Amino acid sequence: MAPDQTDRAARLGFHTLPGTTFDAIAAGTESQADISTLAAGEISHRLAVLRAVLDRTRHLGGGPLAPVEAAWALLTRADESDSRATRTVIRHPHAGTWATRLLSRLQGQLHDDVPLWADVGYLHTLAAAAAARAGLAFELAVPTRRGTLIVPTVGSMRIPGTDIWDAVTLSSDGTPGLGGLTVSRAGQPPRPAEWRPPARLRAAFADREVSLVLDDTDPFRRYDVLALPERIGDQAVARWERALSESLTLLTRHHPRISAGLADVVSMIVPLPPAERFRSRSASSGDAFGAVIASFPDDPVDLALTLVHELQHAKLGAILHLVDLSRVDTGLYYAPWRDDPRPLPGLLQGIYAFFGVARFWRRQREVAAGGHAARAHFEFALWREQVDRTVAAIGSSPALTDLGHRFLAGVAVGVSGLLAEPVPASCGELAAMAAADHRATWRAAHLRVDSAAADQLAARWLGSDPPGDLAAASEVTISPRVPAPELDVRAALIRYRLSDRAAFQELGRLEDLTSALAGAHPADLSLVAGRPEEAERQYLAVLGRPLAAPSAWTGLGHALAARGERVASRALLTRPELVSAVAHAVAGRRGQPPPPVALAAWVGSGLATRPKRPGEWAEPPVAEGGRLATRPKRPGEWAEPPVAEGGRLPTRPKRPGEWAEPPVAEGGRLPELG
Amino acid sequence: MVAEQVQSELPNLADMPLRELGTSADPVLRAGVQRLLRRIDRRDERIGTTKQRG
Repeated sequence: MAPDQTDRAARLGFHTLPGTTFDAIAAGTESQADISTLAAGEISHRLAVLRAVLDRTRHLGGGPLAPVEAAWALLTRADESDSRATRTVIRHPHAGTWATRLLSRLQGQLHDDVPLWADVGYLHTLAAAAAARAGLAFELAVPTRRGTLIVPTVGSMRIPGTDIWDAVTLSSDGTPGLGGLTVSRAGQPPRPAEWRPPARLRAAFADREVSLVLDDTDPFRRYDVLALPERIGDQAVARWERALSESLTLLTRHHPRISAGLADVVSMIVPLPPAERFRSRSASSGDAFGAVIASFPDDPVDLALTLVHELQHAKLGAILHLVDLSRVDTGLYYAPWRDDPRPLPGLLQGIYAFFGVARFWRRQREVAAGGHAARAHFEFALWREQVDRTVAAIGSSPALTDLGHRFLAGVAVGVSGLLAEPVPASCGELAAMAAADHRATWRAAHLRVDSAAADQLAARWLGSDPPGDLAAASEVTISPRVPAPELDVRAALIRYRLSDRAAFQELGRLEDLTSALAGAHPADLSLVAGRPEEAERQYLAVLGRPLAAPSAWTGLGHALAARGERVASRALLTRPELVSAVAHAVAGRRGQPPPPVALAAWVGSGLATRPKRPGEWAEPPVAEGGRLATRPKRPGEWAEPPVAEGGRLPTRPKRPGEWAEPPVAEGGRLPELG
Repeated sequence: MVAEQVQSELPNLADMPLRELGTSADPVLRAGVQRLLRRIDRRDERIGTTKQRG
């Protein structure tokens, strides 16, 4: 089958997207019709991906399988017999992941140990699935992986005795679905087929019943790794169904606007085991429109939040299949919701996802009671702030396309509405503290000061000289620490403290705090519990040992701020990477580390306390080529808010250019809560 | 007044039968496939992870 060379004239058109739809999706005001527009684009995208796969595999040998052309011919027959059934198979989320991985592999972007014929053979299983659904009689060799045959959307079965990568013949007598399928191996009689259809979760959402697949089988269900089947059992399926039902009830009752379109987008959940409390994991991919990877939730609110978060990713992923929002860019950026520095496309995804998260908590704080309401206020204040600051930080980036600027402008409009809403002072202060903490600890973990500049400062310190001009030491590069340390430890402890006092107190009785919260130190618990003097002693003990965690420097900064030690805390909370670099250099020269508080106060004495001119402040979060710029290119561009006196990071401008609101409450302690 | 439309680079294949999809030399389809391959080429593997949200 050669491409039709006579069909040269363009008869196809490109998708168009109403400008009103684009803007509504950006600002979070989209309608059901807008979601449908995106979903239509996803069908075209998937078909284009399949054509690309066909172009690049039709010349390949099939190994023990039939040539690709034979699989494509069966898929075509199925399409002509029952287009709807075939489209169901083509839309299968993991078919997109498979196809994109395969294309990456064929283009030399990805190495894979899977034999190429077995990788290509996923197309054969898609064809068999479509034919089975369409009720066609057929016979086709299909690959098995580690003793399992998977026919996407139809079912899977164990086939003992097969090699790691093997092939079996799948045939059907034309009975639609699993009923007519027979499996046989070369030279052996057909085996009785013991199929396991995909597990389904049924629940009510809005005014309809939804049925989501719970996929524990497909090898492409995880995006970062190929996965083996992990059958989770009927009881686990039932637990998932209950959790889904409760979360959809919550969304239906209280979040109809933000979850509109959920039933048209999310078709599948890929389960992960429960994560640590307040650290649920979830992911989605533009390649796999409709699938959500999620750890088993803490509670219905947690799963509802996950679905809202991943719905945002899905919408943006669909937009990105239609238009480009950014250009090629090699920079790494500060993302206030992540432990690791992020590339621009990832940062855009995070902005949009957490814009949805902030909107979720805005409403949830009206629904929740007691400590859960306090936590909802905290989350709302935290995420609206983080999204707002991140949008402001990259809003003028030249790496954004015109549409990228337009999209972020839409998000900014949506966020501006959130910023206007009042939040209880105590929750707002905790949110500001959490934001400042994440940012400072990220700097301590991932920024590197020029070693010569640090060494010069070490010499001045040892010579009892003042630090002098810190300009040279302001040049920092991003050097991602791998693995990245957990930057959300103190925020997670705040969540415990706000929403579950008993569990928070229980943490203090644990022999090993990290068994409940990886990366946590008892000093963090003391700090969040409102015992800054104890926290200071504990952080100092940590810093007296080699290779102290970056969070110990910033934790010390919080503890010092709480007892009014302004200069030292300012250094530790705004330039922790500089303090730790100088400490390291001093230790290298003298053989023992300097006293952390005195060193921080010394560095702090060299930091300016006020901007020279309005808008001229350092610490822009955007890297160019992996380097952080240190000054705005133009007034106001990349500008970060000035550091408030008292070592406190400001959180939000009252008016443009005017920043206020220290993250630590007056009196030097974390705010008390009712 | 005609509503503004954002022009995409994704060919509209929604109604195309698979037989035609497999054989068509339509330049719009070819352009769409080329764009897709370019995007895969420059894909940033740092994006995909299930370790943490965001």
